Amino acid sequence: MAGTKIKNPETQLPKTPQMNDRDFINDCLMTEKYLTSAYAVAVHEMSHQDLYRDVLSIYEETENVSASCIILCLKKAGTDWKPKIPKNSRKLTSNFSSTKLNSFRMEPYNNLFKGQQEGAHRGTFYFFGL
Amino acid sequence: MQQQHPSQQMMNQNQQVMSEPPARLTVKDHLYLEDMLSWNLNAVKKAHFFAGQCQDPEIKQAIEKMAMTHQQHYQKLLGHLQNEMSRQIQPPSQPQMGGMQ
Repeated sequence: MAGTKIKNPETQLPKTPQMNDRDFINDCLMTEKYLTSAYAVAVHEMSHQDLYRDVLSIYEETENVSASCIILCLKKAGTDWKPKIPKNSRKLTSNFSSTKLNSFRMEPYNNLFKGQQEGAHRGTFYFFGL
Repeated sequence: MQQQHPSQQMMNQNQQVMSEPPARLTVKDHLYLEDMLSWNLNAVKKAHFFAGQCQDPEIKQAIEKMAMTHQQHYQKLLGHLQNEMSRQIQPPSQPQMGGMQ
């Protein structure tokens, strides 16, 4: 299914200079994105635990709102994702799945890497998870 | 002057090593809270206005929900400022010697 667009049929919307529903939902998404990046900075700076916890939960909820905006964009606004597989992706996958970690394989950790061929990142998590 | 001694001793005891920062707002917290409140207020207004303009009921509902979420955030953040205000109006039982010394 490579090259097939991830897209729903576009909802019919008036094409006028005024903002339509798609513009509104996109603007909301923009706002949420702005807010989350601002919270990410703010949460670093909070001085005490209660405040930190509250800002962190607000940050997380805002991130969830942002995610639901994206889902709505796919559902309603005809936003499409192109699942195009790059030409070198096979090479990239094989590079990352085994060779990169070979040099790290040491005797005590060998069993951790058994069956961990599918992704370099997973191997790394196991490695640092010790 | 004699009466200040016990309270000063008490203060010295209170000035022991803190295991975690006290639940007081700093200047920086205040500035961030002010910013976060204004972002949320603007987000609530904007989402509410957008919801009124939308034609699709599902989008309308989603944007209304977004407005409500931001309103809750606004209240939560405002609570921190109000806590700090009430603390200043009714000082805790600890003697506040800082200003007098």
